[in-house]
Amino acid sequence: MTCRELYGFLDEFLDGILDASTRRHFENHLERCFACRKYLATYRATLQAARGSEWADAPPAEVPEELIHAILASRTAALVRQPPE
Amino acid sequence: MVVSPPVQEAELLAGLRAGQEDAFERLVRTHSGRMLSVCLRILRNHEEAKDAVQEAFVSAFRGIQAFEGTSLLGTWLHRIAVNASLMRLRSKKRRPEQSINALLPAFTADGHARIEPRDWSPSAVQMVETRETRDFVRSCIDRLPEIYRVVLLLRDIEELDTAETAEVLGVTDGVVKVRLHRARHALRRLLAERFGEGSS
Repeated sequence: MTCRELYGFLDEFLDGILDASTRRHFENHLERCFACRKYLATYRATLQAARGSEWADAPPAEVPEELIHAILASRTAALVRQPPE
Repeated sequence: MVVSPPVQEAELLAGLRAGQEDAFERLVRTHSGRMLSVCLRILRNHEEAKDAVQEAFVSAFRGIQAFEGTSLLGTWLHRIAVNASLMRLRSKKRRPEQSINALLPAFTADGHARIEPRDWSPSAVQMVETRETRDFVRSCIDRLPEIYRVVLLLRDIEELDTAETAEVLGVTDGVVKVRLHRARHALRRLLAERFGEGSS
């Protein structure tokens, strides 16, 4: 396996879905290629940084009161346009 | 996603199906903040995001009778907010799509990486510990060409799976996988610039 091929399998490797044979080739390459080990570490760190930075657990945005009123008013307007049968 | 205790969720759903005004208000007050956050992440514009939230709730109000309750209301609304945001994104005048190629790894003819990466992973983990550096990571995500940014957001941030992402984007699973793969490599490259890693 070359560095190029290894880079192509990074997502499957991190998801644990590489088949046994490809995984063996992947790990053999990693053992002898310091550059790919560093690339894998930083690729993994990239995903952690993205997930950690991108508001995943951030508190909800402040919703202006007028938006809440507008949303509820749009429901009332829809009911007026389409009265229940 | 807002997780309500099952009893409260069932009561709320019953109220919504019965058309009770207070149930709709509770739904909006409980979930609109998270929905606004989702829309802001995708649209990056406060006014557009507010419009998308309103459109999402209009869709939800229309669809509440058909909602089977197999997922939580919050999960259902999250998906609707994602859809509303993507609809807005599609309707916007598109900028010419930038190429992502310059941000992807480069290799020699025999398949070796052209540059020796530095291991900046410990710094990256610390990265998300301060507001300033979280903002930096977000700014890097924003620098990705649109089609890659959206896939990265949906898969890695909004936690849709490949099939769900493909469905909301109207592309195949294979396209999602390729775009996600490229987006992650490109984001890695943009983060690496901060740590002084050379260009490939």
